Amino acid sequence: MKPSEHDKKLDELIGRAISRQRPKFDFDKWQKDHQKQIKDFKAETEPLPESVRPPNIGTIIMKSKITKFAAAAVIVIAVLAGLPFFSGNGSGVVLAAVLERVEQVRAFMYKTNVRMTASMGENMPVMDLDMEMTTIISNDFGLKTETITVDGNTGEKSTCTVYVIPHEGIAVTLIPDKKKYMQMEFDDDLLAKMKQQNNDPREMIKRMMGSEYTELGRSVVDGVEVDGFQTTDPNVMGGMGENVTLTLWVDAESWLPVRSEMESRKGDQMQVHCVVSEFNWDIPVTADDFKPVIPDDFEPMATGMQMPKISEEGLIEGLKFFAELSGSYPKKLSMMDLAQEIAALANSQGLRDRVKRLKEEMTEAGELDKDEFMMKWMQITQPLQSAGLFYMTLVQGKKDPAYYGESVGPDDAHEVLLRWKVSDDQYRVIYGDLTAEDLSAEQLAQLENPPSQ
Amino acid sequence: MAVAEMLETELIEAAVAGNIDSFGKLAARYYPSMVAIGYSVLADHALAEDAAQEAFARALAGLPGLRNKARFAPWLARICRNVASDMVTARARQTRTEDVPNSAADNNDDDVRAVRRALEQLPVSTRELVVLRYYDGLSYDEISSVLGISKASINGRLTRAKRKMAKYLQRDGFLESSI
Repeated sequence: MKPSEHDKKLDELIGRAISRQRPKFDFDKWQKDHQKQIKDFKAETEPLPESVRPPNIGTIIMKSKITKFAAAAVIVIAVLAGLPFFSGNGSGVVLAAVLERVEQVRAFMYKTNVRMTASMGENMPVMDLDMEMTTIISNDFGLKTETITVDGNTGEKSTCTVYVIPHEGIAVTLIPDKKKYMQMEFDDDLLAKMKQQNNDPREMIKRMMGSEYTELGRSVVDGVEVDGFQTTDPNVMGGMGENVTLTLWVDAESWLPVRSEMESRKGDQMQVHCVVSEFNWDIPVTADDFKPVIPDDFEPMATGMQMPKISEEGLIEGLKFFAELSGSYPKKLSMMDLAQEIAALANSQGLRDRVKRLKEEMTEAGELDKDEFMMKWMQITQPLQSAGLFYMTLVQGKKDPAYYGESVGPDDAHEVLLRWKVSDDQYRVIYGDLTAEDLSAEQLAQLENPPSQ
Repeated sequence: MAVAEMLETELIEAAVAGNIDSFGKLAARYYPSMVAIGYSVLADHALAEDAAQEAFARALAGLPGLRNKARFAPWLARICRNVASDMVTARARQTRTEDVPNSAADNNDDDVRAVRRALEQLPVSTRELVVLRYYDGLSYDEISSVLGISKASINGRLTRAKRKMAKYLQRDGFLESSI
């Protein structure tokens, strides 16, 4: 049989086996059979008067005092302690000496003042926070941070204390105003990383060493003669802002940090100004300083909470979670963009359904409490934090990450969604169907730039 | 942007905003493709129609939250695929003996069964592509729109799928080998 006849015969066979007259859709009948779904759809999409409009979940989250405590806890733990695992590979001789000097210190104390304004999207309140944190770090015992947060919109003041106890793998947050406390567990991987690198200005120095920085020369800060260093490398903040300036002033005599300032801006959406100062080096500490004392009348909240997984597994869980709710992947993975996408997602039907289910479950269990509810809600959305934090480490670690969430969706099974460098010639690639494999740089180039036909 | 694409975009925008008639027009447009997708999983025309209709009901619930409107059809296809898979899980998969395609009524049943067996040998995504192409003769443009993949990719995958099916059918003596 000739190839053309063969193909024709095959087409005929397949056609005979499965072809069918084009089915017609009877929309009227379908509407009659699905009246409830249509009613729900109309209720969902019909604009309601302001007075009866259901509360925007995003607004509730932003207004929730308890969420701010939790957010503060996560920020303190993740940003100060967990995130900057990747030491820089720059050749900053002077900064290396500063780092060596700081690493000889067993325990120290410093203050951090953060002023942050951020818009999470249309119809969302602008977050306006002033935070003052007093931190004690001990190489032997852990970390303790007292945070006072003032909400710029309401003037409301709140306090919390976070204890990070690496050898026990837990972080405890005390919230005196609420008489509540929360315990978060770290997974083994994160704990191992925390044991290796215990947070703080040392990481800031390492990040600066891994960036292109300039020496500012000698100056005087807080009455101390100092040498200055400055970087505007956006990677220093893991891509959180587009315009970042990090300045570090080091005591010219002792080579210990005196003050650092970080200014970060992402368009009109987010501005962060952070000052770290009032360092006290080699302070005497005991194990008791880092043991949380929980008063008898404090109640536990949201037990069993876990830190986001800063790993490929956590990233994939986050992407999967987002796709289940929205049908696509986040357009971008930087923390600020992701925060805005999460805020937009808060009103999606999928998330509303989850919130509704959670409320029902908690009501049935007799534990529907607003604060508990918000904490559990945060836990539900935690995979997204994992994805953002993991991506941030890739940017900070200069792993050459590239993310294609704007053009690749869950149906693009074989297209590259995210890739990053794992060695000189190897890349880790996550595909649209969230499978992963290692490829050589050459194989990756073929995938990302297929030859034109 | 082509007129058809523009109309589709407008329909999707209107449907997302709550216009049920626009959703109805979209559903009518994609019904044959969804039935074909359902058929590729269920191998049963009646069940495939049920799957397509249930997929529209689920899609309606998720529509207000649909973010990437440009991928409406692939999104709908994924829902339909999931519905069909759920149906397979829920019921024991049964190919009804009376469920013979209309056009096959006067044909050799052995041929039909052999092709179906050959189809079963293909990976799910490839089987879906073959069914979309042959179920009611969808064009490459239509398939591209539903699956969200390029026409070149459709062509390559269909060619490979047919080659595999041909080998299987030749082995069973239902197709002569080509020269």
